[in-house]
Amino acid sequence: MGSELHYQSGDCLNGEVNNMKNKAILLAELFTGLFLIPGLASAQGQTSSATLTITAQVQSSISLVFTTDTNGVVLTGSGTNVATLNFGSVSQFISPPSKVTETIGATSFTVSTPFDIRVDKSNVTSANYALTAEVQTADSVNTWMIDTFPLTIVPAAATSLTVTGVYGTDVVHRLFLTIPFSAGASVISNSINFVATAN
Amino acid sequence: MKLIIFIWFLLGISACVAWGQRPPSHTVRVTAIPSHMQPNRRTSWITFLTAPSGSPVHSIGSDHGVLNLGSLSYFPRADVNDVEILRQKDSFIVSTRFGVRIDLPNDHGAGTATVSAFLLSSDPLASVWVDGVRLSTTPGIIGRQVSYGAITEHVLKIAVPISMPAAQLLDSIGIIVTPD
Repeated sequence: MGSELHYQSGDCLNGEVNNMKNKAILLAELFTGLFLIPGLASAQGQTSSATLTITAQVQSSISLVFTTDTNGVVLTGSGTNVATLNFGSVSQFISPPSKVTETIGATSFTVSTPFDIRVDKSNVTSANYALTAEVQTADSVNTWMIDTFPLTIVPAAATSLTVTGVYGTDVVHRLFLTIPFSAGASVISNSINFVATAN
Repeated sequence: MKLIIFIWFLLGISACVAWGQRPPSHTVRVTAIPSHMQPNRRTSWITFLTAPSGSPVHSIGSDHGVLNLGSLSYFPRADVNDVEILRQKDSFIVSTRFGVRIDLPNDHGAGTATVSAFLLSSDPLASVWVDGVRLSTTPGIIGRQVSYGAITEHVLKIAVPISMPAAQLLDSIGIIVTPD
């Protein structure tokens, strides 16, 4: 293609002398090309090829993590799916710890603090998620609640917190623990199991 | 006119020389062969191997291996096949190792070769690298001066976007060995 352009250009512009010169150039390029052709054929003939097939099953997945809320107590294990929330020492007659809210009722007092839950998704076509929670150990004295939902205790069905959870954002929830005045001083400890399900 | 006749004469000689380079018997490959792969004379054998701490490679006949990465997910479970998963914001990168051995026939083990890799087929949403070289349909060099008979270990990485629906991932990598 390059040779052809040289030839046409010379022919049109400069007459017979340039025409001969271009013919010479054409011949030189042609010889070069002809010497290269067998060489290329030889190099191509020595290659070997193989195929590696890669298989995998990409699975959909979602993840739930707890994170410390700006206005809540610091979670131990924040950023993971196993966290501990410690209200600290609480009483009817002393001020609550920082970032713990206390309300006094007629027969009990309630402490509460916010915490965040973040649910992420991958390789799943789901617009939102449902979230449930459930107290894991029976507690006949105290009452546990998240947001406005009293929590059930195993083996009862888990409490639904939302059915339209938004992926990829820290969603604020608030844990309420109600302690009756009649309860003796003790360490209160329990586990709450959260389950997010892709819709 | 003389020039044209002369050119045709030279082309004829060239065609005869090139024809002499063809293999004595025809070799037909079952797999799709892109334009840059020519049916050729076999000068070496390529074997895919399982690397230590790498995903299992199964050899299927000569010059064909299957690398099984198992089940993959952004939030991995315990049943991954010796695969490392690196989570990024919008994707996760799957990484594993595999081995390649190039042998010459008749125990002619001397010499080295250049190894190139390219994509024969792949999921359009996933990106594939071998030894840091992002693969495309154009061969990219992944090994220089590779000795015949030696096992070379290569790192395979596949980026899977989280927006990709859960499905079977099936990629094919072509390997070309060119003697130095």
